[in-house]
Amino acid sequence: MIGRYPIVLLATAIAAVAPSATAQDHLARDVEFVRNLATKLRFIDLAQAEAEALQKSHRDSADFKLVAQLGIEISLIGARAHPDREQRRTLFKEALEKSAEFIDRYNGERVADDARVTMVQACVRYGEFLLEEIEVARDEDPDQVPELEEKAAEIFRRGVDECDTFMKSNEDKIANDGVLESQYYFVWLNKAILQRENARAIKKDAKPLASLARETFENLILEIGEESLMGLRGWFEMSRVNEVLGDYEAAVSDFGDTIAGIQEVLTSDQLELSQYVRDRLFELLQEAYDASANALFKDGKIEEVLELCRKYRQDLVELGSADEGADPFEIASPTSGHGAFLIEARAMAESGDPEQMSAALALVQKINDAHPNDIIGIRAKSVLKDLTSRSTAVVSGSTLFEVAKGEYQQRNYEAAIAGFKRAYQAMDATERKENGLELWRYIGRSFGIEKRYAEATLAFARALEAHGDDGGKVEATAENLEQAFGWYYRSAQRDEDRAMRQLQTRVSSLITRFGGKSNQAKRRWKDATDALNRKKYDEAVEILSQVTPDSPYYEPAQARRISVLQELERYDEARKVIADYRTWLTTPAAELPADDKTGMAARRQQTIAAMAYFDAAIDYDQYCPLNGKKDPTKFPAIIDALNNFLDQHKQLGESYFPSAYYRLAFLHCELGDIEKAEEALRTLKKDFPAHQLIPAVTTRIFVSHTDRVKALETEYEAMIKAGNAQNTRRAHEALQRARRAALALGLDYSSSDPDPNYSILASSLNLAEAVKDWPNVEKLANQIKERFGEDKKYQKKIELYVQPSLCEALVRQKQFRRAEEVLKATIEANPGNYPLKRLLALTLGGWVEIDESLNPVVVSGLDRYEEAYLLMFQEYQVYVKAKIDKYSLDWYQQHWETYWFARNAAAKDTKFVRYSQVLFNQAKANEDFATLKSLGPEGDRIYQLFLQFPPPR
Amino acid sequence: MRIANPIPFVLVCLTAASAVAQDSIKDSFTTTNGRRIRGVEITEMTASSIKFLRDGNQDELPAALLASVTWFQPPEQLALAHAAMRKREFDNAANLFEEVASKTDRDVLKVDAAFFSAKALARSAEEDPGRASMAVDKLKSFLSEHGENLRAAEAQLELGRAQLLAGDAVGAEQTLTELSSKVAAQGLDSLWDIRAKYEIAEAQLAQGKFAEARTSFRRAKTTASTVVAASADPVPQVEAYIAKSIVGEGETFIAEKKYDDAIRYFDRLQRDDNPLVAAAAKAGKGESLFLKAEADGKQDGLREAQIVLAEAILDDVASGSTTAKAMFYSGRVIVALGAERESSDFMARANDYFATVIAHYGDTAWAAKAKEFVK
Repeated sequence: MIGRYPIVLLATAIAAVAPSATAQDHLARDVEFVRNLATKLRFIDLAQAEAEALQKSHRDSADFKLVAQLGIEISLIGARAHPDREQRRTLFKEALEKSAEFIDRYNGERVADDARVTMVQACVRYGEFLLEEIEVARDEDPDQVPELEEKAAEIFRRGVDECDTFMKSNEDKIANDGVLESQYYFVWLNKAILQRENARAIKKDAKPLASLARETFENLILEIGEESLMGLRGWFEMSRVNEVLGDYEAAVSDFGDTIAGIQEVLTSDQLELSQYVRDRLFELLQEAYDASANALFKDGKIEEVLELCRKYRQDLVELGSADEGADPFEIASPTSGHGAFLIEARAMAESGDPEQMSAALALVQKINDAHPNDIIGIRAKSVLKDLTSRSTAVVSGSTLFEVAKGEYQQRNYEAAIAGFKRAYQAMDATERKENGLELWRYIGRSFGIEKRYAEATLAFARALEAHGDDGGKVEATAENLEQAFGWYYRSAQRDEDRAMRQLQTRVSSLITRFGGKSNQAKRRWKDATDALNRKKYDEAVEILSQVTPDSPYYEPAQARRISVLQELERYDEARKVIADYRTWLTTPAAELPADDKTGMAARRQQTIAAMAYFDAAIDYDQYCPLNGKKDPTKFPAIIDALNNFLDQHKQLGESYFPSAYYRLAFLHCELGDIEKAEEALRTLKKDFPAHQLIPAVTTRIFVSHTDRVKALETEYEAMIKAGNAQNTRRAHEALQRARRAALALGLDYSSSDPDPNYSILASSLNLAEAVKDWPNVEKLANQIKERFGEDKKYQKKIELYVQPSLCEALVRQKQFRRAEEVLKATIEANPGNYPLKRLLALTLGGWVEIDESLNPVVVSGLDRYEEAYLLMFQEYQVYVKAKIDKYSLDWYQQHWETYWFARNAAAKDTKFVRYSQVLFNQAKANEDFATLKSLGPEGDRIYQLFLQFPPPR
Repeated sequence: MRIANPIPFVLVCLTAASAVAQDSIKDSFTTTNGRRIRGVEITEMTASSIKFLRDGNQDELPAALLASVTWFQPPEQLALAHAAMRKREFDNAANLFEEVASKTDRDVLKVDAAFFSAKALARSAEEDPGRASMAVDKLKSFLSEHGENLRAAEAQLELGRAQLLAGDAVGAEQTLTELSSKVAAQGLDSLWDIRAKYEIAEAQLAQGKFAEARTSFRRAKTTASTVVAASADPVPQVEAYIAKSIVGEGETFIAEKKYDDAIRYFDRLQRDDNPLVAAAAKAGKGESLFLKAEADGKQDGLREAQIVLAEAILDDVASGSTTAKAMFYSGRVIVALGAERESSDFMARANDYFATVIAHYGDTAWAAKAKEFVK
C-alpha cells in the first residue's frame, strides 16, 4: 500500500518560508501547533476547532490564505481518522473540493501551490481509501466494484494532473527556493505513487500503468540522487510496483534491500546523521518491513512472515535506541510501524493452533487499543472479526467483546448485538464479572437505538440481574432500564396486560434495588402514580411512605401522601404526616443546599402551601362530609383556615385554590350564608373559568337558595292560614326576592354549564313560573325539552310539567296564535291534561292583569269567549272537582277565569249574562268574598277583579 | 533533502522486475479449526478428502475439516454469484455460477460452480415452488455425474428438499433415507446423517404426518446428542441440530394447530441448560402464542408473545435461525397489536423487524417469509 510520507517534512518547509515579522512568526507557530494537534496527538476535533478559530480571527488579514490552507489540511487529516466509512468518504470529498476552490481562488499565487500540494495528498489519501473500499466490496458487494474502480481511477488521474500542473509552473523556480524545491520533488514522488496506485486500482490495465509509474520513479531518483532521503523514499515506493503487479518475490527482495541499506546506515559509525534524518530513516525502515511482510503474506509465505517479524522486532529494539527489554510495539511508530504487527498476528493465526491464535488475538487487540479511531484500528477490527469468525474454540470473551464494540462504533447494530451475545457466551466467570454489566448495557443501547424497546428493557434488566452486584456503572444501568421501560410502556400505549404488569414489577424491583437513591425515589413516585391510576390507594400510600428525605421527591411525596390519605378518610394519619413534615422542616436534615440546582426551594414552598391547604381540607372532609354527620361548630374555624390559605399562598398554592373555594362555598351554604357562598363562586369563576368544580358549587348554592325559598313558602303559607294579612305581604315580597335570587343562579347555571342537571333546570323553571318570568319560563322549558326530550326517563315529567309551563309562558307572553297551536297539539297528545285546557281557555278568552298602579289591564286573548267558557265550564270543571279544593286560591282563580269568559261572552249571547251572575254569586258566597280576601295578596287581587268587573246586566 | 554524507547504497537491479504477474495458482482454504492454508493449488475435492499441491508437493485434507475455499483469480462472476446468494437473488446466482463454470478452465472449479448453481436453483424453489422440478433435475444430474464429489452429500440433501417442494414427498423421504445410509457406508461426516434425519422429519411434517415427524425429530436429536457426547472438541453445527430438532418437534403441534400443546411443550424447555434450546423454546412459545391469537381472532397473549420473543432474541447466542424467527414474529405481533395497543409508528417498527431479518438473516427460511410482509 501507499507509504505514509511524512507531512512534517512539508510542514517544516512551510514554516521556514514565513517572513521574519514577529506577528507572522507567531501565526506560523500557531499553525504548526494546530497541525501537530492533528498529526501527532490525533486530537482532530480540537485541531479543527482551532483551525476554524484562526480562520475567524484572520478573516480579513493577508494571512487568511495560510489559515485557510491549514483548515484544508486538518480536514484531510480528519478524513483519514474518522471511524465511520461514509463520513470519511464525505470528508475526503470535502477536502478535495475545498482544495480545488482554494486553488481556483488564489491561482497564480504562492499559496495556490501549497494548496495544490495538499490536494495531491488528498488524492493520495482518498485514493487509498477507495482502494480499501474496493477490497471490501469484492467480498461484500461485488456489484459496486466497477464503480469504485472508476472513481478511484478518476481520483488518481486528477492527482496526477495536479502534480503535472504544479511541476510545470514551478520547474523554473526551484533553483532559488529551497522550500519550493522540496515541494517540487515531493509532488513528483506523489505523482509516481498516484500512477502506481492507479495501476493497483485498474487491474486490467495494471501493466502499462505500472510501467508509467516506474518511469516516473526512475526519473525522480535519477534527478534527485539515490542517496538522498527523497531518493531512498523513491526506491522504496518504486519497489512496490512489483507488489502491484503481483510479483511478490521481486517486491520482497527489493524491500529487503531497502531494509539492509537502512540497517547499514543506522549502524554505521562513520556517518554523522542528524536526528531528523535518523528518525526519517527509522520510519522508512518500519514501512519497508510492513510492506515486505504484507507481500510475503499475500504470497502465502507464512513462515517467512513470522521470521521477518522476528527480525523486525529485533531491529526496533536495536535501532530504535531503546533499552534492552523494551517492548518493540511501544518503540514502533504508530503510523509507520504497527501495520507489520498486524500482518504478524494474521500470520500467527494461519496455523489455527490455539496458542498461536490466542497470541495473535492478543496482539491484534493491543493494536486495536492503540488505534481507536484511525485506519489501522479499522483494519485491526476487521482482522479481529476475521480471526474470531474462523475459530470459536480459543477466542476469549473479552476479545469478542472488543470486536463487537467495533461493530457498535461502526453503527452495525445487528452485527454488534450478535457479537456481544457471542462474547458473553464465550466469557468465563471472571470475564463476566468484569465485563458483563457493560456488555449487556451495550446490547441494551443497541436495541434502544433500533427502537426495539422490549429487547432493550430486557437487556438492561439482565445486566442488573446478572451483574448488579459486580460493581461498575450500576446506577447508570438502572437509569437506562427505567428509560427503556418507559419507552416500551409508552410505545405499548400503557398496556395493562398481565405480561406487561409482570415486567413492570420486575423492572421496579430492579430499580429499587440498584437504582441509587434518586432513581429509587423516582421509581417509587412513578409506581405510586401507577397505583393511583389503578385506584389502589393503600398501595400508593405505602409506596410514597418509602420515599426517603434525601431525595428530591420526598417533599412532593408527603403532599401526595396526605392527599391520598384524605381520599381514604384516614384523617388522623394525614394530620400526622403534616405534623411530621413540619417537624422535619425544623431539623438540620431539611436544610437546603447553598447551590440548589434541582429547584428544591420551590418544591418546598409548594409543599408548605399544600400542607396549609390540607390542614383545612382534612378538617372539612371530616366535619362536613358529603354524606354523614356534620359538625357545624367546626365550620367557622375551617372557613378561617381556608381563607388564610387563600391569602397566604397565592402563588404556589394555586393548584389547590379551586378546591378551597369549593369548600368555602359549601361551608357558607351550610351556615346559611348564601351571599358569601356566591362570592366564593364568583371568585372561582373569575380566576378559574370553566373549572370542573364550578357546576358542583353552583348546584350546592342553588340548593341553598331553593331551601330558603321552601322555608319562606312554608312561612308564607302559615301566615295565610293564620290570616295575618299585614305580614303576609312582606312575607310574599321576601319570598319573591328569594325566588328571583334562586332563579338568577339557576339561569346562570343553565347558560354556562355544558351538561346541566335536569333537577336544577326544572327547579329553575318552577321558580320562573312562581315569579311569572315568562320569557325565562319559555327559555328553560325549551332547554329542558331539547336536552332531555329524547330521554325516556324524563319524557313523562316533561309532558306533565314542562310542556304545560311552556304553554303557559307562550300564553302569558300573549303569543296567542302560537299558544293555541301548541296547546291543541299538546292536548291532543295528552287529552287528560286539564291544566292545558285551562291554558287554552285563557288563550281563547284572555285575562285581566293588575299593573303597578293597581289598575286592571285587560288581555284580550283571541276574543273567543264562548269557546273559552265552554272549555272551562264543561271540561276543566272535571279536573276542578277532582283536584282542587273548593274555596282555595286555585279554586277562586279558575272560578274568576270562568266568570271572565262568561261575562265577555254575554256581549254576543245573552245567556251568558245569567251564567256570569251565577258564577259571581258563587264567588261572593254569603260572606261577601270573605274567604277570598283571607287568601293573602293573591286572594285580594282576585277579589279586586270581581269588584272591578261586576256581572253585566 | 540530502543526507549529510553519501551512503554506499546498494543499487537494486530492477530490470528483472519486468512486471510479469505470477502464473502459478495460489488457492487458499480455511479449516474448521481455524487454520488457513495459502498458496496451494486445489486439484480435487471428493467426499473423503481435498487434494492439493503445495510447493509442488501433493497433500490432502480430510473433507470434514474443510470450512471454506478461496479460489485463485476466479472468473469475476464468482464473487457476484456469492453476493447474489447472500442477497437471496437465487435465479441470478444460479446463472452466475453457470457462467463461472463455463468461463473457468479448472475442472475442480467447474464442478464446484455447477453444484452451487444447482443449489441456488433449489433455494429459488423455496420462494417459487414452480422451479422445484428444475432444481430436482439439475441436482439429479449433478449427483449422477459427480456422485463422489465433496458436494454430493449436500446436493443430495438439497435434492430431498427440492423433491418435497415439487410435491414428491415419497421421493424426498427416499432420497434423504439413502443419504442417511450413505453416511456410515461411505464414512461421511455424521453431520449429514443428522441433517438427513432432520429433513426427513420436515418432509413428514409437510405431509401432515405429525406423530411420525415427532418421532423423526427425536431421532435426529438423539443422533446429534450421541455425536456431541462422543466428540472431544466442540461441534457447534451438530449442537445446533439438537436445538433445531427439539424445536421441530414442538412445531409439529403448531402445524397440527394444537397451540396450547405447543405452548406447554415450549414452556417446559425455556429453562433448558442448553442456551440454544432455551432460546429456541422461547421463540417457539412466542410463535405459538401469536398463532393461537391469530386463529382465535383475539389479542389475548400477544403482549406475552412480544416479551417472550424478545427474551428469545437475547438468549440466542448463535444469532441464527432462532433470532430470525423471533424477529419475524416480533414484527407480526406489533402489526397484530395495531394502533390501539402500539404507538402510531407501529407499522414502521414492524417493517424494521422484517427488513432486518431479510438483510441479516438471509440464509434462513424466515427471510423469505419476511419478504411477504415487508412494505
